Amino acid sequence: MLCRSLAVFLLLGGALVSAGSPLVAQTYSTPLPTVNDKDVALLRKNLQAEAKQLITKNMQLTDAEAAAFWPLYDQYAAEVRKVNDTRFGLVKQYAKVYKTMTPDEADSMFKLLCDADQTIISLRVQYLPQFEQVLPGTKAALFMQLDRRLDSLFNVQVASQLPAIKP
Amino acid sequence: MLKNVIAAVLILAGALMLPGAALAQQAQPAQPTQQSSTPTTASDQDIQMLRQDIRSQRKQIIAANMQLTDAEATKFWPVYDAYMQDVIKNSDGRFALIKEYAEKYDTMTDAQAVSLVNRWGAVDQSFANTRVQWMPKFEAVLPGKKAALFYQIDRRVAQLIDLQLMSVIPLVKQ
Repeated sequence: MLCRSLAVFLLLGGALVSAGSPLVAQTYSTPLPTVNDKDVALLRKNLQAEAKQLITKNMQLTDAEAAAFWPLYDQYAAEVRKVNDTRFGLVKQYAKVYKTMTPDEADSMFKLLCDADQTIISLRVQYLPQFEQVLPGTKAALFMQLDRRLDSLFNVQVASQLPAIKP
Repeated sequence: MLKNVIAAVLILAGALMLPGAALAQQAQPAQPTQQSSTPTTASDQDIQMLRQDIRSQRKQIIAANMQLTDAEATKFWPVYDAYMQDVIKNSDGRFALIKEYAEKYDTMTDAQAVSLVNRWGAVDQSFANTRVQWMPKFEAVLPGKKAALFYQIDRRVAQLIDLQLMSVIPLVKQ
């Protein structure tokens, strides 16, 4: 399951960016396919579904826990989605201005990306007590551990597909 | 080069962790491992050496990708070294939490688990804040786009180290 997620991330990241001088030894010998917003939305929906399946499989919730957990999870995931909207928006903008990017544009985009990182961390801190109310502490901690790992995977996959800034 | 960083992180995290770690994609109980029930532990000295190696490789990756002129390098590296001192402080916090997690892993209470997650979140915030706080200092010594390139490389390497650590830390026991 994690492999499929990786494949989707790779496709999504690769499809959104233009070929440039990649940072970590990736070369694009053929032009990258382009995707429209509808494709991106569909891919993200698949990723969200897979994240949910991964959490279900690892959490082993009782029926009572599940009844309390999933509505809160959906609320949390909706907030995370807003931040990821920003991240995907930045990837699109990066691809659009990549060849002509000014220092100010680069600086501004990076600051927005850092803001997004900080917002995700804050959301996690903010929601932990709420998850603790509906789950035993160790299960709440396990959820946060899984969620953080998925976010980390998401970040690495998207970042690894973006070409490095041309100084 | 990046593979070496990954290997070093894996060794480091593996040395700190318990055997029988369940990865996120495994729902079933952890598979038997060849290790005995006594965790393999690394001494603080081993850990320091491995962390130093990771830092050295991180610096090499940055040097190889930044292509600084001599004049830029003269100004950049002292700022980078000072920035890394802040990064190291954050990493100290993270490694202390990993050690605590390993020590309490088998007997962890609900309160201990939540406390660890909270403190891990605080370390994450501190890492993110450090990056933002140092941006103007790098911009003062590098042309705009080179400073941006540095942020990009630094963030990516940090994320990779983070993911590797996450991947080898066993999931909280239910």
